[in-house]
Formats: sequence, C-alpha cells, structure tokens
Amino acid sequence: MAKRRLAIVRGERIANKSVKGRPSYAQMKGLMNYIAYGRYEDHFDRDVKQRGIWLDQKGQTVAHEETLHWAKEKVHQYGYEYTYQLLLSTRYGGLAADDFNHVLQQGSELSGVREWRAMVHEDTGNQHAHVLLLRREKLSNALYKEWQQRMQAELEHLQAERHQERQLETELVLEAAPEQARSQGWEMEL
Amino acid sequence: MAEQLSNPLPDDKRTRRPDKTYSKHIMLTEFGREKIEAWAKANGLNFSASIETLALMGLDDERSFYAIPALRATTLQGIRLSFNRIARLLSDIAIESAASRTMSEAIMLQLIRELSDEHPDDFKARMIISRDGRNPFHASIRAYHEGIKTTVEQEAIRRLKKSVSRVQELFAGDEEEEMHG
Repeated sequence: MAKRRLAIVRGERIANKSVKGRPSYAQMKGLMNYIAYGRYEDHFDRDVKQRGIWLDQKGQTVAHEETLHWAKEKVHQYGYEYTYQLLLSTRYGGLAADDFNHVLQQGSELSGVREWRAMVHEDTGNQHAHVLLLRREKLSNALYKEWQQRMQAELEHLQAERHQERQLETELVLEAAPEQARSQGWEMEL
Repeated sequence: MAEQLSNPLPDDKRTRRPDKTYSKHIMLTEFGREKIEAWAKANGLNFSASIETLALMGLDDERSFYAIPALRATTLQGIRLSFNRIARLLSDIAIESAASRTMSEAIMLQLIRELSDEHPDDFKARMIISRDGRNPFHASIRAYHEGIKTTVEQEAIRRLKKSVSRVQELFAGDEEEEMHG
C-alpha cells in the first residue's frame, strides 16, 4: 500500500526559448499570469484579483509587474535559459509563507539557486505554493531528484509539526468549551 | 665699545680657513658686532671667518672664495626649507588620498553587499556595465557617469588651483625670517 504523504514537491522544467531558439520569457510570463490570476477567460471583463501575493526569497512582497520584470531581466539580460516551476503541496495546510521559503532555502544549496518568486494559494482544497526559479544550465537528473527529495522531506517535516500544533489547539478549545458552558449556566442562574 | 675678539670655535673648526690665521685686535661698535655675529650664525661661520669674508667681498677680492661656505650654507638652508614645505604638501596629499581610498573601498563593499543581498544569483553580472552601447540602460548609466566625472574633474581642478595658490603662498613666505630667525 502506497504511503500517504503529508506533502509533495513536484517540478517542471521550461526552456526559456522561442520556436526559433532565441531567448524568450513568453511561456514564463503566461505561467506567472496564470499563477497570479488563474485562467484569463474566467476573469474576462471583470476586476481581476490576485490569488495570492508574490514573495521573493527574503519573504518580501513583490508586485506582479515587478515579478514579470524580474523574470524578463533574468532571461533577456542575464542568460537564464531554464525555468523550474515547482509546486509545493501540503495535505493539511496551515503553513505560513515563511515555511515555504524555509523549504526552498534548504534546497538552494543543491540547486545553486538563491533567488525565486513564490505564491501561496489558499483557495483550493489543499494549501500549495507555486514557485519559479531560474537557472542558466539544466540540473542533472540525479541532482534534480536529490533537490526535490530534500525539499519534500523538509516540507513533510514542517507539515507534521504544523498539523500537530493545530490538533493540540483544537483539543484545547474542545476541553475549554464545556467549562465555558457551565460557567455561562451558573451566571444565568444567578 | 672696544672688544678683543677671539675665535669662538674650537681648534678643529679652524681648519675651515684655507690659510694660517693670525690674531688681530680690532675695535667694533656694539651694533657692528651684533650684525656680524648674526651674519656668522646665519651662514654657519665663526666670527673671524665672517668678518674676513665680508671684508674681502667688499673689496671685491679674488680671495672672496671665503664666501663659498657661507653661500653653501645659505643654499643648503634654502633647499632644506623648500624640502620641508614640499614634504608638508606631500603629507597632506598622502593623507587625503589614503582617506579617500578607505572611503571608496567602504562604499564599494557596501554596494556589493547590498547588490548581493538583493540579487544573490546575479550580483556579479549586475556589477558589469557594458560599453558597447547596444544596451540602452547601460548606455544611460555610462552617460550619467561621464557627466558626474566631468563635474568632479572640474571640482578637482578648482581645488588644485586653490592648493597651488597655497603652495605659492608657502613659497612666497618670509624666507629670510624663517632662515635667520
């Protein structure tokens, strides 16, 4: 029987090139727009609201336009040929944005990437974060796997911790509830 | 006031005189004696050598080569003074240059630190500002830099002119006073 994971880290590599082989961030731009606003046709003729906040590697908020500029600059000025799109998904949620950044920092030693942009989505059944990182060269398969596994282990560890904390909080609330009811009852009698 | 004058320097110093010397009693006024003593002191000669040199110079005698030590002393003192002035100026320049270097290094390091903090993956690439002109952003940085450089150079020239006037001031100082006290 397959083990039920508390968290999953999945990834995809995108080549930042046009059909003619020139540097292009068009695909990345589309991806970032999708992460930030969802499917364009769903919001046609409506005020579009972001699904989350873009965060940089320091956990600081970045505007969507700035994120696009960051990616464009990387591709067109600094020769980043590959984008790694990661999805960090948790079973029970409850993680803070800093937790996701911590997971990525744990992986940066292996990937050699110290800059990224991430957005946490809370509007689905499972809390998850989309992350975009760029590299000049491809990661070898072995290194990519090691990187993914390290981040997954860290994410699972954090998910277990946060889940435990939340369970403890729930138990405390439930224990306190009958006491509160009794107290209210006495007050009513008086 | 009459006074018997004798050579105040020790025997070994008398070897500076080219010929054998003989004692001679002369009568001088207080004023004359003081002036000759001051001249002797300023030129590094003893009293007798000074009085003989001055007398021979006045007579336009060929043997006024006695004046050579005096002239040599005067020249040396002039060179020493000039050297001291140049050394003072060079020290000022060296201090200013060292302070500027320290400050520039500190600013450079801060810039690198800020850049690496903001762009940890690209800070080295971001330090490069190309010269080829194909990148309009880099071209505008270069143009702005050139503008600043021109202004700073003009300011440096202005300050240098000020320093040169200070040099002239120093060299135009009362040398006689500095030399003779």
